[in-house]
Amino acid sequence: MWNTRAVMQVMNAVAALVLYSVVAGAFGIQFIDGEIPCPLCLLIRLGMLGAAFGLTLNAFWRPRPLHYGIAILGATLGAAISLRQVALHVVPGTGSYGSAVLGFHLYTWAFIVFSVLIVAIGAVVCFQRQFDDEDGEPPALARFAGRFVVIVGLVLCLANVIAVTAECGVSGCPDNPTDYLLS
Amino acid sequence: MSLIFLVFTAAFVLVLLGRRRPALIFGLAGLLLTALMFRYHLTDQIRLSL
Repeated sequence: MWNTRAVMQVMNAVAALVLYSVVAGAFGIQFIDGEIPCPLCLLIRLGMLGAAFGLTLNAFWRPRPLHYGIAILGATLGAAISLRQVALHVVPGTGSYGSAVLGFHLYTWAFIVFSVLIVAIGAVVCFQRQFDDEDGEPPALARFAGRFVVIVGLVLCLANVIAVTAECGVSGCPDNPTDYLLS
Repeated sequence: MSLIFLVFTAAFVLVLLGRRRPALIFGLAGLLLTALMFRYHLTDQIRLSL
């Protein structure tokens, strides 16, 4: 039945899909535009997946403060990493990494996404009824959304394992990659 | 770096299998490894990559 908990499950699924689409977009830029990610770029992807993992737990099981905590930790870590990358290039003349999308580089967009996510989670946890033990199975749509986002996250993680192994092998990832190690 | 993605992959597999506590442990371990790798990259003495 539809209650606050079920609505929040679907909303968490949608939010997780937004984060997954950002990672998928990065894949698109990597393979369509040929811009190979740097180590910091890969760490930002990990932060994005970590934050999305917390939201995915909410969508799959039920909203819990612990799951939101994991999402906030992932977003905070991702924000710190992306801010580091912004800081490396903020001084005029220091250049940039990758091409700009709508005027901002991907690491700048990542910082914006992480910041918005942290604020959004802060607002959403104020709705306490989502944490109540409520009777009844969640609606089919909520259960489907939960399973779907887990599968999307799993596929993206696997794709990153393959892509990063091809780029770096088992050694350190190059700071300015120009080609794949295993090609 | 691929190892950390593998840890998150395992976390998602555990979620699909319905194992909540192991999934949480793997997810948090993934975040911790990411933080450690970030700190490692800040040292500019890169010798290995997980």
